[in-house]
Amino acid sequence: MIRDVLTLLGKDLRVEWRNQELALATLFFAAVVMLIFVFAFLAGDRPSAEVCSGVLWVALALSGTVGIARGFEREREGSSFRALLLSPMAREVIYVSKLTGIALLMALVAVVALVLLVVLFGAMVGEIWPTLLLLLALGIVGFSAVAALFGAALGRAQSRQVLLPLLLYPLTLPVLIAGTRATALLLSGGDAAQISFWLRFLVVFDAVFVSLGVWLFEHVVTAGEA
Amino acid sequence: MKLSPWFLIVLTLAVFGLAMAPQLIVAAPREVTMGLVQKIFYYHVPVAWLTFSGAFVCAGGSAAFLFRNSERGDRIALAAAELTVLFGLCVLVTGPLWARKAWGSYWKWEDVRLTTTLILWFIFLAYLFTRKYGGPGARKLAAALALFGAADVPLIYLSVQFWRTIHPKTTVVSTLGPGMRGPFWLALVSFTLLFFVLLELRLRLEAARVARDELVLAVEDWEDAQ
Amino acid sequence: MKVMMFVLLLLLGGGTALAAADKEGFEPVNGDMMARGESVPAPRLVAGAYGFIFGALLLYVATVVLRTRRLEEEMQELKRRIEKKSV
Repeated sequence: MIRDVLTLLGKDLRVEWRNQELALATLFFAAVVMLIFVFAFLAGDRPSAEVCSGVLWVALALSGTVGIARGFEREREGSSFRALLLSPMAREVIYVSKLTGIALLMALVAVVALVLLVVLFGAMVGEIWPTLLLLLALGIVGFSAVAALFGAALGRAQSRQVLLPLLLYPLTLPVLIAGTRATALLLSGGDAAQISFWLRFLVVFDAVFVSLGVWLFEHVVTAGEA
Repeated sequence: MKLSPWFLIVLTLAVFGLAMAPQLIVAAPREVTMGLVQKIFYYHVPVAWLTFSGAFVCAGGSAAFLFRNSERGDRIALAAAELTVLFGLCVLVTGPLWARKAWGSYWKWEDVRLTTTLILWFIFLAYLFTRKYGGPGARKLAAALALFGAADVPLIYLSVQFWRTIHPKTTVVSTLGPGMRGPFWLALVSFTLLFFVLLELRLRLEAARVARDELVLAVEDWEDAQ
Repeated sequence: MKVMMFVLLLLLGGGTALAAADKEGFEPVNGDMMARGESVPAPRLVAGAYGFIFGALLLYVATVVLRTRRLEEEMQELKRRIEKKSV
């Protein structure tokens, strides 16, 4: 199964490597969002830890959605997703490979957003970066678990461009709450016990939503509507 | 419209209960510290209970639709989702009205129950949005949304609770004085019966819609044959 | 099997939430927490709350009845069309 996932993932990565559309568009979008935040929040003093963590996670969620929507739209244009669903490949494999692809894209955005956060907002990530990266990874997995299912299920539904964020944000709000709170605590040198609570919380969220996604994917995503 | 005897009995009981409840509520002893404003709770709590029950009924119907292909389950899910949004709106309006007096402001984000209800409300609003604008293929997608939403409720509750360090301060049912219990339970039972009445009404509407669609198709076929 | 897994997951999530809620506990409202010098009169708030609930419910029932009636009229119209043609 892992080999199949890697095969599909390799296919998606090769497609992306040839034209870089998703990565460039998403990164550019994230940078623009950060720039808007600079003018919204940086009038005088150094921004608080809350502002920095909010900027990071909001930029990640917004640009992630843009990339995910475009990714599934591209597959629809080429009917490649339908072809995939018609193939004998197990549905779990398709879901997990999509999840991994989205997570990789968002991880790329997260790294760039983090660099911009340090450069533009002067955030101090000197010693906390391992925990911060773990936090981002857990949050990204949770977000991608929901996004992979609904992005694929939206298929040819009408008004799908509007529906994706409408479905995605309320469902992933716990991820955003956990992410922003824990990042703010990290940046302000907060209580370690609370940070570890949020990390464990994200692990539970990821477990629940990845298993739900694997389970529901085959029922919700059908070749007829992809 | 033909009505079954069961429907009439439940309808009578619900109307009777709802007509009786205000008199008992007026007669109930005044809560010492909160005074008159505490009387909002007699309706607020049953309505909140039905908001969450509606969400789980919707998830149950969606599960039946997804895994057993049950059309009836799908109709129940849609009806329950509408009721969840309706009752949720009542919760979101009456809660702040109580808080205005008790806490001095309409909304306190520290209140985990109200905030959780708000997020749940958004998820089911997204459900209705998907059903209305998603087109024919979006029913399975909406069902997945309902299941995700129901699984999300405990996680939302937990994350909102730990989001702020100040914790919610609300009375619970078990602390109600003896004179307050009668009207409270009457209101709770009446509202629950009302929920079933409304559900049945809404299901009839959906059944009529299906019958209409079938008739339209039949007429078109028939006219084509002519 | 899968249904059981789902129920298990729900229980897991619900259980953690409840355990956390239990640990934190809820404080009953006491006199100190009530807002002082409050300007909005309580009767108006209570009337607003009850009025809103009844108003919303009535409005909802009205829309459901209206939508059902419109569908029934439409069906009657269709049936009339069939009868007229078949004569």
